[in-house]
Amino acid sequence: MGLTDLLHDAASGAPLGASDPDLWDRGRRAHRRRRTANLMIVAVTLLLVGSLLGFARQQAAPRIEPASGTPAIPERIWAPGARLATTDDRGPLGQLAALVSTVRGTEVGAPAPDAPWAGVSATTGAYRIIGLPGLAPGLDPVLSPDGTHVSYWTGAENAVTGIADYDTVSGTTRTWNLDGGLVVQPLFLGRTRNSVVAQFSRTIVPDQGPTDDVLQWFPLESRSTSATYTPVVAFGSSDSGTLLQQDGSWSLLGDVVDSVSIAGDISEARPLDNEVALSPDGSRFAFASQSYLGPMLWQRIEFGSRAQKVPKAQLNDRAIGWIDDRTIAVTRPTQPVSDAPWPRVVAVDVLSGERRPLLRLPDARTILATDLLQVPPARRPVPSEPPGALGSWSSQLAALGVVVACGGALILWRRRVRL
Amino acid sequence: MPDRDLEASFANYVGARRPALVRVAFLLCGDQHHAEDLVQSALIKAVAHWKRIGDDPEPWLRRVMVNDHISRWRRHRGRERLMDVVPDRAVPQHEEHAELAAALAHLAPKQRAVIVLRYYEDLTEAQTAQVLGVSVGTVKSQHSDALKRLRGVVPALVQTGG
Repeated sequence: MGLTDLLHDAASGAPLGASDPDLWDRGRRAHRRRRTANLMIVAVTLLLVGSLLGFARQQAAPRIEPASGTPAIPERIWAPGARLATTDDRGPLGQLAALVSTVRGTEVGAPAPDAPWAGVSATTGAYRIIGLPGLAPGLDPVLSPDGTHVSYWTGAENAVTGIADYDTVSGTTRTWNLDGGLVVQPLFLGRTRNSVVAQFSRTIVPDQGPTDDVLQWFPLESRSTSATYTPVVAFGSSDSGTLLQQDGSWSLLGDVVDSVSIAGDISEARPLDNEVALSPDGSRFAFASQSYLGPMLWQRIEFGSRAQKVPKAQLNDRAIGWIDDRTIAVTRPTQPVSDAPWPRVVAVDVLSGERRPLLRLPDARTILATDLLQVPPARRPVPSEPPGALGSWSSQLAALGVVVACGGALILWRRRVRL
Repeated sequence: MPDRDLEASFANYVGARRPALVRVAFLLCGDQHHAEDLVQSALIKAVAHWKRIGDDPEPWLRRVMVNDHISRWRRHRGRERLMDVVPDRAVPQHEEHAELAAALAHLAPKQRAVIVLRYYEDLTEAQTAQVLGVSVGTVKSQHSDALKRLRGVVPALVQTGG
């Protein structure tokens, strides 16, 4: 008996069950289910692709144009990548447009206290980690209004010992030790055209609270410093000087000449977070108010002046500098402020309240060279190190996770409907 | 063709050819219940395509049954193991049938499909290749390997092969 015969014999012995009389209807139902499943797959795929394309478009870099060479703030400042070159390796970056906090070497999340700061070149838009030797952890540095110096507290965490000033053009750093006492508590650090101004409280007797507040003034052109111990509160600085509250009045501490001029009456308004935006010429200032008068106030620095309300100001506005005599730059981080991605900077007319978009920043901690606000923002090349590398990696991983999860769910669902 | 006619054509075909399909499926998988499942699943899938394949559904159904069987084998092979005695089978009428069933159980599903399609369905190598979705060369090599294995398990088939 051949293989063919054996197979026929074996097959003929196969028992035959009854046929299902409902096959046609079952087939139609299965076909409908399969068609619905396929439509859903197409819809979900289109949705995913659309979402990813939208995301990619949102993240897309602007058209790269050659740098103009004229110092200006880039119209968009990116989150620095994780592997940026440093000034220690490549040398100083020159005049800066901004300082941006990094989370170099750490996971995505809140910046580490000792995360380095990246500088953004005002002339080329290049990014580089700025080497700030001895930077005290957790204390933000200050960028001079023209972007040529970075001033910062030095020391260890909760143990400030001095002040330093890094020259972004020459790469040199000048330091001053504070002879403040056992414990120095930083209160204010400001930068005028030719000086660093620091205010701090000090504890001289162990196990007692702060003894007094010191306002100390460090002219860059000489090794000497001057200090004042009067009960003043420093709020902000610009090229022309530092704004203080003293004896019930606003005062302006001059830049080169150690002079204090009466700048106007203190209204009932107090600046929120003790921050004011002082105009470069020292003629006016603006601040977000914590009082009932309004969310944003501005005031001329002259005898007898009073604060005026900026029309249509919004609650989360924060003044960061002056663009011209009647226009301020305002950040508009959404709540919570510290987590707001890509906050916008808008220009606000203090008289009319009219607003127009100006810049986009990687986060609310970005520090701008405020003098450059008076120059129109420039389009700069995207840095070679993918900007926002950590952020975009996390987003891409999240998108990939969503795609994998959706794919898995679809496979399981299709198995369920498979006959 | 109206739906009512399609349904009638389908019912006529099932009534006439279902036993033959079950026999082919039984030879493909060697299990009665599995064979009926394969046929039923293939027929249900055929409903959606009946307008196109209704004139000659057999090649389409063979291909679906073979593919479904191979897919199922791949899904379950980790949970199955070869046995010397094939348990859940129709009772062989002769000792030769028992030997054949045991020998077929040692073949990979594609090799087994080649044997069934070539020797039971009497398909050419080209037709077999079309059903399996492989090249004629692959059919030839699978055929040769399958015969070698069959003869290894049941030497008596050396004389009966072909």
